[in-house]
Amino acid sequence: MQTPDDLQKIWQTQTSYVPSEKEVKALWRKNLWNQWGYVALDVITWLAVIWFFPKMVTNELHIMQQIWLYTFLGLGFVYTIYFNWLRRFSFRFNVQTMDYLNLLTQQKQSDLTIARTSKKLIVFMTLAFFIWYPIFAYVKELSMHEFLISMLKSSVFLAVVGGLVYWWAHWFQNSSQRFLDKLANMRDLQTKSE
Amino acid sequence: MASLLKEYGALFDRVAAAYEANFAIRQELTQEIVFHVWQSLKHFRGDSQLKTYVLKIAHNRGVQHVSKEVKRIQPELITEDSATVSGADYEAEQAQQLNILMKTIRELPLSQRQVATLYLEGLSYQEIAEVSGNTQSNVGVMINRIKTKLQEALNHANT
Repeated sequence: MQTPDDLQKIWQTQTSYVPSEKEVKALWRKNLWNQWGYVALDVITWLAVIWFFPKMVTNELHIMQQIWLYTFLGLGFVYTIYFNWLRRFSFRFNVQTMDYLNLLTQQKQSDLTIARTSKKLIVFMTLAFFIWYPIFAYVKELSMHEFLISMLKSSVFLAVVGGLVYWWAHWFQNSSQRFLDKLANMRDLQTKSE
Repeated sequence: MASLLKEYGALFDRVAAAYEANFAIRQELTQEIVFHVWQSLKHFRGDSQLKTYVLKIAHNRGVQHVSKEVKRIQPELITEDSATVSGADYEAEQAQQLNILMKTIRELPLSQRQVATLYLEGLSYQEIAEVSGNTQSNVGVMINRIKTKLQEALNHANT
């Protein structure tokens, strides 16, 4: 019969791997690059908006295009605020394991909402574009040839960009759902064992 | 960083071992644990022992590791606990006992797994209660159940 001390002795016989400072710092640098990547993405997005804004206010664009762009800009603004509000759990810090599990669940539920909303937004914007564009072509009195060519170009652009965002959102939704399922399973086991 | 690794590096790897059997992935988990503990040190207010604080962070990373998808190595490439059993440092019997112990611990529910690891690391009931967020009496009950399970597994293997 093993005594408790023996159990501790057996456990302590493990040969442990201790990572080097270099390895941990490499992980830190990778993390830092990821964070800078997100910052760069935000900066590029805003630079694009700043570059485009004067074009809108100097009436270089048709009024219908301005309406579309203002709607797009407004939605983007609301979307950013909403997503950052959802991400608020990421800034919290919890040490106790049960609290940490709750925090992880909240984070993943927010991720799930972000993914679902992104997918809905892509579908909505695509539908809105296909309703808006013929009206725009009619108001601007485009010829059928011009209309079809520009519609084709816009559709290809939308399919590529929208498709990529939709694909990302779908992947993000699935991976968040799997994470949440595993968390729910662990919480269930945790409760049963107590 | 150097002092953190020197003081607790081996401890973090033993915690990682309770959450991951594959040695290559376990190494990555240990690196992640060290990284997150290092990042979390700025939140340490000194209202508990540093050891119990870092253990909380380490276990939380372990929990997250179990939840998230990890890249899976092909079964034929898996060298389960290779560093712990393949060396010439251990007698075959000791290595076998350690493997059974590790396997049994990994099969425990999350809360029991955490308490088991802390108990095996030699923490007092009070410290275990502090890390796990349980009461001391609850910890006592859990440890008795865990010991019974671990001893049964070892005895079963010996017969």
